[in-house]
Amino acid sequence: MVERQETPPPVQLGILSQILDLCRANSLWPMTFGLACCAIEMMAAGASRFDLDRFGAGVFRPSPRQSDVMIVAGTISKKMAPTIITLYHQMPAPKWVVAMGNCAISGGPFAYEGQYAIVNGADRFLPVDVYVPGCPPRPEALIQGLLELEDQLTKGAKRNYLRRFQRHANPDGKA
Amino acid sequence: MNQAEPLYELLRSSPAVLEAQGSQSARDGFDLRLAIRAKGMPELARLFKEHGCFLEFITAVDHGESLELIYVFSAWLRPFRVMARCPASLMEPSPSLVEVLAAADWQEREVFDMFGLEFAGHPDLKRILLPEDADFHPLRKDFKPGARHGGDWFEGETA
Repeated sequence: MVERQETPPPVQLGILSQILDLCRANSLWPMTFGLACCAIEMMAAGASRFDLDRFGAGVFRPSPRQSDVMIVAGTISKKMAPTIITLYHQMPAPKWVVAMGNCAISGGPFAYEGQYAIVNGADRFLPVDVYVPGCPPRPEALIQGLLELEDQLTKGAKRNYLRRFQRHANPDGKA
Repeated sequence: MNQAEPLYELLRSSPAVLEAQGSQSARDGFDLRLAIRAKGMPELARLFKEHGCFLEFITAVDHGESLELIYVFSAWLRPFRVMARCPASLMEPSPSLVEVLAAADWQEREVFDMFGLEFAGHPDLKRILLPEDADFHPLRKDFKPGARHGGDWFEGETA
């Protein structure tokens, strides 16, 4: 299990750190990698029809050194999982993980007794921030997941002053 | 079976071939089915390569008391698809085709991964799909699912 790095910065910047959080939330840079069919929906979310760039999250980086969001899109095999951990360690902090699709959440259709090749969920070894259910999730679901992550970063939708869509069910953004 | 196929007579007369049976590709996808000797595959692979065929895939079947290797060859430029079957053993490695056809490299690694069949002369015969510390071959009939196997490094830490 890879632990979340919770070390607070040595110097607290007060209101400035909140401004930085707002900037981070609206310029999430995901890493370009996919593990299975969910990656197709992730690509659709990044392409012109759904256009993740509207939310600042469309800058898919080809290197983990340049990205701060890992979208685990697809089935994690036991062969691939050590590589994913390496990629996670290569990302600079602060960094976040989105588990996209049922396979990355809990193993999905591969969670059965006697199964020998698949890791049942990204949260078995990574600190996951947002879960996006679906098999595969629609691009809108991934967009909602990323908006949810933005709200986590700004500690509430109300303080995410740049948010493109207002929340309806829970306008205060309190969990 | 197209009688004008140049490989037809060559295969019939090859000493590696035990039995050649024509088939209707419209019905089952193969123009020719071959039963071959256990050690005869590299010779046949060379013959296929010289006549414009490529290796489609290698797989195996576990019949319980015996195992069988299956090679499928196709051609791009003419309708010709062949299935060749030969007996295999866990005790005795089969000859590798990597010397003749580089495409056999990963295919043979997959057969080794899934069935535990070894290939003599393969440059790097190791697991390809399962973790390298796995201690089982899942497509064998004696594989018992449910037991703990290799590659469970993440279990226990989160339990």
